[in-house]
Amino acid sequence: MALAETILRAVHKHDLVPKLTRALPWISLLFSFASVIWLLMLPIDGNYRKSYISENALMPGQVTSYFRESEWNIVRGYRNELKIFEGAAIDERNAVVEGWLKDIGLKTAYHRLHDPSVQDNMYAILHAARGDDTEAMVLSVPWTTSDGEYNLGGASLAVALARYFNRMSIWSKNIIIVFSEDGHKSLRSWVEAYHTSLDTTAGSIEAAIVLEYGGDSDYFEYYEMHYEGLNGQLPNLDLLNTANLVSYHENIHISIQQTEGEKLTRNDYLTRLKTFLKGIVSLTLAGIVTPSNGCESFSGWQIQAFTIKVKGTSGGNDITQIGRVVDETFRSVNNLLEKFHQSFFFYLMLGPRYFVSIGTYLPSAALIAASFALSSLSCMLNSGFTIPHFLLNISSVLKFFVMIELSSFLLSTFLPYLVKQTTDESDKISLVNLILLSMTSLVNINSKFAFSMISFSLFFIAMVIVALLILNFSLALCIGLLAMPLQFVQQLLNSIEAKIKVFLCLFVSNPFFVVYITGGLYLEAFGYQNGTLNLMTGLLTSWDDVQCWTWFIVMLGWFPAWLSIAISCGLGDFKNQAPVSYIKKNQ
Amino acid sequence: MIHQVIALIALICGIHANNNFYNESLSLTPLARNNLLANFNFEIKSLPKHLSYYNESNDKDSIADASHYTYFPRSIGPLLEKTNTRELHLRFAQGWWDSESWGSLPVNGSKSGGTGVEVWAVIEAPTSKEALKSWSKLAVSLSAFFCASLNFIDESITTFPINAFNPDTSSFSADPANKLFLLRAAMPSEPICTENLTPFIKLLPTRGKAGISSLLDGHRVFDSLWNSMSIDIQTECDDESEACNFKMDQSISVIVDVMRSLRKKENGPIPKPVEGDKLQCDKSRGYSVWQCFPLGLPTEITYSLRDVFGRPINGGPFSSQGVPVTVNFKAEGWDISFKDGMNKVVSLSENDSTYTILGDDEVNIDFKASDSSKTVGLQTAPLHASRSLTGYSQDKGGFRVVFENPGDSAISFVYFESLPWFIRLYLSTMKATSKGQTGTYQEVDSSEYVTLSHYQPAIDRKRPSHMELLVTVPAKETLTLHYEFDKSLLLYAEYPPDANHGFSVEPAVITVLDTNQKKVYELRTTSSLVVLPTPDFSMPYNVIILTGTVISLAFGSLYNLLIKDVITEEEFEKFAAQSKLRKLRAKIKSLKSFLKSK
Repeated sequence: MALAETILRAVHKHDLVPKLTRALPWISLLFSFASVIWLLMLPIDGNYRKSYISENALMPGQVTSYFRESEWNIVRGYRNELKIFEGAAIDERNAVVEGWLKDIGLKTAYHRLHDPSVQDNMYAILHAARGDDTEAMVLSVPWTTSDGEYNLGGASLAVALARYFNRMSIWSKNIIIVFSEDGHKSLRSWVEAYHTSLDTTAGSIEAAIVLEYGGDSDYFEYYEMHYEGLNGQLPNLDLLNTANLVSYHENIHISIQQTEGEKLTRNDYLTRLKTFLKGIVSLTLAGIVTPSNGCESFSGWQIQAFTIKVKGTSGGNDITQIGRVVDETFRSVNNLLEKFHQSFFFYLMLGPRYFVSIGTYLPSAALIAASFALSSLSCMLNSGFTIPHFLLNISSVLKFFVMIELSSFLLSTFLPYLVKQTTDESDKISLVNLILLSMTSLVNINSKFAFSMISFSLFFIAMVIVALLILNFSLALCIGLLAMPLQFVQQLLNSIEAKIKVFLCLFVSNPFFVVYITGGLYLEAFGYQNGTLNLMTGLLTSWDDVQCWTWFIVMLGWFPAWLSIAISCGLGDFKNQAPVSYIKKNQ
Repeated sequence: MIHQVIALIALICGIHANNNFYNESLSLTPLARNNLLANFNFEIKSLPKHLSYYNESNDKDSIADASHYTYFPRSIGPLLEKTNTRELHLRFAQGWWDSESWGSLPVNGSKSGGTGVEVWAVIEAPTSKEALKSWSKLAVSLSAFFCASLNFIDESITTFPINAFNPDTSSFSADPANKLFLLRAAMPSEPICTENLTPFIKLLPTRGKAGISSLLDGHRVFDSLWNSMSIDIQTECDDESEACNFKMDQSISVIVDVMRSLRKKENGPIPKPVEGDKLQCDKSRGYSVWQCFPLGLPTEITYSLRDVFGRPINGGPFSSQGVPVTVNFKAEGWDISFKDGMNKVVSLSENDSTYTILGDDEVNIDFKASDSSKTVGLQTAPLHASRSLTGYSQDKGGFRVVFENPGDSAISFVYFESLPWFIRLYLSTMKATSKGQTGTYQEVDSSEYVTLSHYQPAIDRKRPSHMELLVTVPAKETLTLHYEFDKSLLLYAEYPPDANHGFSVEPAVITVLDTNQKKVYELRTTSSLVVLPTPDFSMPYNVIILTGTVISLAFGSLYNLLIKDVITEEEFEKFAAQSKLRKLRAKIKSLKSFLKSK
C-alpha cells in the first residue's frame, strides 16, 4: 500500500493521467505489437519445451510389436483383394470387409444414416477376452483419404491388424474398427450415433487413430500427424507423444503441420516458427475446411484422437511399420488404468518433439485483448466528449448493439439454412453477399453516439477474446489480430480527411474479406481447390455437419462489433461537431 | 456289451447310494469358431441338523457342534449359522458373453454372473435392521475368505430385490416370528483372478488334487474368453423330521479359445508371426511367396484336454467314486475318445456321450474334428440385451438399454437395476423406441411395454436407487429404453484412488419369466464406466500456496503502515531533500552551476 501511495503521488505530481490518456492509442498499439512479438519469441530456444511422457502407465515403446514378417504377406493379400473394389460403391466395399472381419471373429454392425447424401458406416468390434466391456479404442479407416485417394493401404492394414489383434489375449479394452465414407460428416455422425443411438456398442472410447494410407505402395517416406480438434480442442499430448516415441523407435519421420522434405529433420528457429504459426491457423480452420483429416470428428466426446496420413511411395519405411505404430500405441493405451488426464490438453506443437504449453503462449492473446480494451478506453477518453456523455448514451448504445446482435443472430441461423436449401454452389456466395449488403439500415447517428458505439464495440471484441482465450486460443488470437485495424478507426475519424483510410481499415477487418483472402490465398497455396468457396461453405455448414462453433463466434462476436463500428463510421455525423480533444479543452 | 453297461449303471447307482454328500460332473461342449465350453459342477451336502436361530446375546455355544458337516466345508457352515443365512449365492465372472455365436448361457444363466462379484443371500431376522447387521457380518467374513473386497459392501450398495431374484420359496426360518430377507449387492469393478479361484477350490473335499477339479489351473481358467464361478448354498429341510441340511452347488464355466491354447503350446505366449511356409493361404486368391490371403479358421483340428487345461483329469474324486464327464458333440464332425493311464481308449457316440471316470488313473480326452464347425447348436438365447451409456458431459448422462427378442413369441422379463447414489436417475425421462423387422426405430408409448413394478430412489450415501421393471417384448421385436441421470459431486475423501478411471455401474440383471411367472432364464448386461466430475487433487495445495502469498503480501503492507509515521507531503519533501541522494544531486547541481558561471 505504501508502494501504491508512492506511485499515486508520482502520477499526480507529473500529471501523468492526461499524458497517458493521449498516449493510449500508442499504448494499445504497443500491446498489439507485444502480442505478436511474444508469439515470435516462443520458438526461440529456451522458450519451448521438449515433450515427455507424463503418464507412467503408458510405457510407450516398451513392447516388441510382432506385426512384421509374414504379417506383411497378409497385408498384401488383403490389399490385392481390395484393389478390385476401387471403383465400387461404399456399400459393396463394406460388405466385403465385413465378411472378412466376421471370419476373423469380430462382431460387425452397420450405422445406417437414412440420409441420401452420406453413405452408411460399417464398424466391427473386437471384444477383449475377459474384458469388462466398458472401454474401447477406435481405429478409423475412411474409404477416401483427405487427399481424395482410395484408402487401399489403410483398409488392408486395418483388416490385417484386426486379425493380428484377435490373436492376442492381452487386451483389456475393446477395439473398434470403423469404415466410413470419409473423415468428415460420415465419421462424425458415427461418433455421435455411438453415443446416442447405436445398438451395438463396446464401452466408452478412450482413444482413436484415423488411418490414411492411400494407394497400393508397400513403402512410404514419412507420415503426417494431424491432431486438431474442433472448437480449439486437442487430444491429450501424452497420446501424441506415445505415437511419436513409437515412430521414433521405428525410425519413421513425422511431419507436424505438413512440413516436408529436409525440414522433417531440421530443428531451427524458422522451421519451428512455421510449424507453430501453421498450427495456430489450422486449429482455427479445423472443422471448416474440407476435406478434413478425420481426427476432429472425435472431439467433444472426451476421445483423444489423431490422424496418421502416410506420405510418399518410395521411402525406406514399409507398410507394416504403420501397423506397428498403431499396435504399440494401442498397447500403451491398453495399459492405462485411468482416463487420459495427465500431461497437456492445451498446447501448440513446434515439431514432433517440441511444444509450448498454454501458460507460455496465453499471454499473447491476453495482450491483444488488453490492446482492444485500451483502445476502447482511448476511444471514450479522446473523442472529445466527457464521460457523462457516454453514460447518458449507454442505454441507447446497448439497445442499438442488442439490435445488431439480434440481427446477426438471425443472419447466422438463416444463412446456413439458406445454403442447405440452394443446391447451386456459386449462388451461395452471391446470396450471402447480397444479404450482408442489405443489412445497412439508414439511420442518422450523431457523433457522440457513434463514438460510444465504437468504444463499446472495441470493448466487446476484447471481451470475446478474453472469453475464448483458454477454450480456443487460436481463434481468439486470429480474431484479435485480424480485427486489429478497427482500433485505428477512432484515431482516423478525428482527422476528417482520412475517410479513405477509415474505409480501408473497415474493409480489411471485415470477417468476410478475411474469409475471402484466407480462402483465396492461404488455402489455395496449400492445394485446396476453390479456397474461398470451400471456406465459406465450411463455415456455413460446419455447425450442422460437425458441431463446430466457429461460424457463430464469427457471426455473434466479431461481425456485430465490426458492423456497429462500420455503421457508426458510415452514418455518423462527424462534420457538424468537429471533435476537439477533451484534454485540449481543459488546457 | 449289455452286461458291461448294466454293470456300469449299477456301479454308478452304487456310488450315488454310497455318497449322497458329494457329487461332481463335467460337461464339455465344442462351440463354433473352435471354442470349447467347459462346465464344472460340484454338489456338496451337509448332514441334517435341527435349524435354530442364532442370537448373539443368548446362546453363544449353539454352533459348537460341528459333527454334521462331513464334506461340507467346515469354514462356511458356522459362518452361515452365525449370520442366520438360509441361502447364499456368490458370483464371480469376467468377460463378455457372445450370445450371438455361443447361444444361451450355461444352465440357462442361473449360474452365471455379470462382470465382477455379486452376492445375494436370504437372511432370517426379526427386522430389516438386524438382517443388515448379519449381512455386513457375512460380507466381511466372505471378503476375507474369497480374497475379494466384499468388505466394501454396506448399506449404500445393498438392495432388497422384490421380483428379480425369485428367491426359492422353500427357504425355512427357524423361528416363525422371524422374517426372511433377501439382500443383494454387486461389486462390478472387482477383477476376478487366481486369488479368488484358490479359496474356491479349497472348499472342495478333493482340494483340486483329484477328480475334475484337478483341471482347474488358474493360468488356464483365466486365459479363457469368458469365465464365471458360482456358489449357491441353500437350506433344505425335511418337513417331517424338521431336520435341515445345507446344499452347496459350486460351478465354474469357462469358454476357451482352443486355437489360442494350441498356439501357446506350440509357440509360447508371444504372438510371433507365423513362419512364411506355414501360412495358411487361400491359393486361389493371388498367392505368392510375398502375398497371402489368409484362410479362415481351420475346421480340421485335433486337440486333447491336456492342450486346453494343461493337464489331464486326475481320476475320480475318491477311489470309490467316479465322475461323469459329458461331451456334447455332433458325430458327423467329431470323434471324441477317452484315454486312461492304461492307454485304454473309449470312444463316445452322440447318443451315449457320457463317460464315467473311475479309479486313480489320469484320463485324457482327445478331440478330433473333421469339421469343427459342426457343433451341437446351443439353444439360442431367448433375449439379447445390452446397455450403453449415452452423452458426453461430466454432469449428466443417460443409459440406453436394448432388448432384442429373437424368438417367435412375446417374452416378458424383470429388468433389475441398482444404481449408486451419486447417479441420480430421472424416471420421467424414460423413453421407449421399438423396432420391428422393418429395421427403423419408432418412438412408442413406453407404458405399453414396460410396467414399473418397483422403484426406490436413492438416498445420498445411504442407499442405492433400486428399479425393477416388468417388460414385455413382442416376437421378433427390438425394444430400447432410454433414461437420463445427473451425476453428483462427491466429497473430497469419497473419491477412490483411481477416480480418473471412472465409476463402475453394476450390470443390470434380467430375469426372463414364463407364462407362470417362473424364472426360465437369467442374464446380465455388461457393467458401465461412468465418469464423474473429478477435481484436480493438487488444487488444495495450489489454493494453500496462493492464500499464503496473499496473506504475506497483506501482512507486509499492513506492517509497513503500522510502524511508519504518517506525515504531510510538505514534511516529506523536506525530509526527502535531506536524503543522501538528494544531497549528492544538489552538490552536482551546484557544481554544474558553478562551472557554468565560470
